[in-house]
Amino acid sequence: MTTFLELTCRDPIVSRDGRPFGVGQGNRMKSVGWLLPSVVAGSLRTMIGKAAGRDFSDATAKDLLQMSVAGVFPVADGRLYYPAPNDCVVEKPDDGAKPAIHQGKLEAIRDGEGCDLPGGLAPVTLKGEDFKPGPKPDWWRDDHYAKWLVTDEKDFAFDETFLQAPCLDERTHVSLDPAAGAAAEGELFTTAALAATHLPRYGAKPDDLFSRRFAEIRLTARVVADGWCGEKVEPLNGVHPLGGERRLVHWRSVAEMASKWKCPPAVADTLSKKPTRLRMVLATPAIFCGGWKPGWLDAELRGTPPGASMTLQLKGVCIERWRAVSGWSLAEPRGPKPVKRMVPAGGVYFFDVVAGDASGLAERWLEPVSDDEQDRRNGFGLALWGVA
Amino acid sequence: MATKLYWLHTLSPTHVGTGRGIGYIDLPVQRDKVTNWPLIPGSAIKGVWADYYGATDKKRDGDDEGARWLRAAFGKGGDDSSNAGSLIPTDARLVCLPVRSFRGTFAWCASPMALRMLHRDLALAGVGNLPLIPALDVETTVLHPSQAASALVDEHRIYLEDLDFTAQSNDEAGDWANQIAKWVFPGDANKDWRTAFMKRFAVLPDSVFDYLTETGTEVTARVRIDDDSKTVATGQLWNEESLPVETILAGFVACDRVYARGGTAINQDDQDDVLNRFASETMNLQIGGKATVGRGRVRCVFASVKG
Repeated sequence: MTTFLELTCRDPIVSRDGRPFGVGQGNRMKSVGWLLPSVVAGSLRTMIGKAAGRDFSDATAKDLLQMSVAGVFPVADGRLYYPAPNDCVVEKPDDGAKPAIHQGKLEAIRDGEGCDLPGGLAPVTLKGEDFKPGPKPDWWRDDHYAKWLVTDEKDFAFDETFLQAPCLDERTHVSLDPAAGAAAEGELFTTAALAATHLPRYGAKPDDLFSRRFAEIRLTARVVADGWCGEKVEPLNGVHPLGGERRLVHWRSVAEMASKWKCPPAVADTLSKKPTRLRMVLATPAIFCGGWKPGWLDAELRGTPPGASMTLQLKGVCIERWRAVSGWSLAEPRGPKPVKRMVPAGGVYFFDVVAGDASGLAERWLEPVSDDEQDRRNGFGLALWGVA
Repeated sequence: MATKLYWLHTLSPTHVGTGRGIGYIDLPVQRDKVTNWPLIPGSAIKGVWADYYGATDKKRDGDDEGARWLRAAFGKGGDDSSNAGSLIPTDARLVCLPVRSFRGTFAWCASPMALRMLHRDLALAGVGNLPLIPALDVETTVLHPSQAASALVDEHRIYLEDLDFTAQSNDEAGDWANQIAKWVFPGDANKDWRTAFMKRFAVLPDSVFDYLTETGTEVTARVRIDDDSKTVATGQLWNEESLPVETILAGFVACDRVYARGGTAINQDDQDDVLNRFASETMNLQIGGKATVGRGRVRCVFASVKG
């Protein structure tokens, strides 16, 4: 049973990076730039377990871990937003003109040329003169993204419909010593959280009206759950904490959200025309057993993504440096979870189609491609597909 | 999850600070990152709330019924037997900022955006039948309740600080004033305050409200006197910012289901009991810093989400 959720935040949401925080470990909390999928999955599973009135015995935990939770993505003005693709580079002219948008392309290696990329991968390069890249918007609306994935003509400009990363809310806390009425010794720390009620609009100026500076957002998540978990998710409507510090969020199942999670028609049409070269963009961070390299690729960098029925040959990669994800397990053994390395959201993989039909990828839109099944259930590695 | 509204009404200037500022205000108040309006974080409320009910470590460690409820509501520390409290307060967001008025002494000022955010928060908490948001597109107009004779109007004008506006009566503004007054000033004993609130409530244009939340807070210059010389100690002059007296903020509190390691679990059936016990009585709290100079005296009023 698939359910689509709408999350409405109120207070800033804590989604920490993997750095230590606590007594004797550091007094300054650091936040990641967007909510990690595992934070959403963990909070929702806890909520469902409580809603069902269950204890968190091994049997309950096992059922909850079977729930597949994907997201969250921002929704503003009724449109879904995705993180900016890494193969977009912005050139900001010195004369104040509008920024030029460049798309990275695979560059074939000619005779006499070479590079040290593994497995014969080709470099992703830009055409034209060298320039210093400018800032690009962090979140792109679904229709802009669809154009980016299927056409070479970028007939859009970065405007106020593009959104920036959420504002970071840093707070200083003290613990008061009740006997002294003053701050307790050594009990001073800061927390950091994401203001997830609004996202700043790209290019907004400080003296613009509020509605031109910020877009009000909701968050959306997709849940696949069966049995008693599915029965509790389907009518969901209430408040429950999300992330650290138990900041309350309103969770509600909304059937109308389903259409936003489908492959856009323009992308589905293009994929149905049997393209020979594809791009896979990560909408959420992915966890691969080979670090940057998906475990479903063999030594020749050839393989089939999870759930797909075609064979792909990896030709190029355009990703950022790895980031860490950890967590805290309330189940035994209680304590910190092992640190894993993630490929950040926005990473782009270029493939050649070796066998099979790319049209089936429209059905794999926003489906996970991480290696481990539990990582996929936790929402790591949701993929968007396009042509290159 | 069971929820209740809570309203904060400042009775003295209230300083919930962020540490050292970089502008001309040395000790600014905490502000929302998006709107830049002052707020009081939930973490600032939870500690004094527990203190109001005497939830010291020693009392929470007891074996009696009272200790069980305190542990359930506010949690318990310790390495082996810690457990989270079931009460979760949200941040308290600004609803009405008191602003100096030429007529009526001061106005309780909101804005369409402030009311829209309040509307959203109340809806999330489960409050139904809320008034509509008043429309206000003109930068030079201020709305006042049509249901009461405004104390602010002087010949169809309203003068706030050094700004003057055209006064316009409005039904939705009156509906909000009526509703907020019932929540903040409940009961027969507060009838006069409800009337005073209705007469002083005003809805400002969003841009004016933004401006006044930055310039209309209370900024006090303070010094420390050198004991020997009886003059200002070197470098000991600072400006600190506070929310003015009569500021009204709102949030909600939820009671979570808690699984205890220390033997004080809170199940769904207990949630209403916890809220009734700890989130019903109006509390007079001291919130934030500078308590020794009288800052932070606040009324905290709880209200049911079911009207």
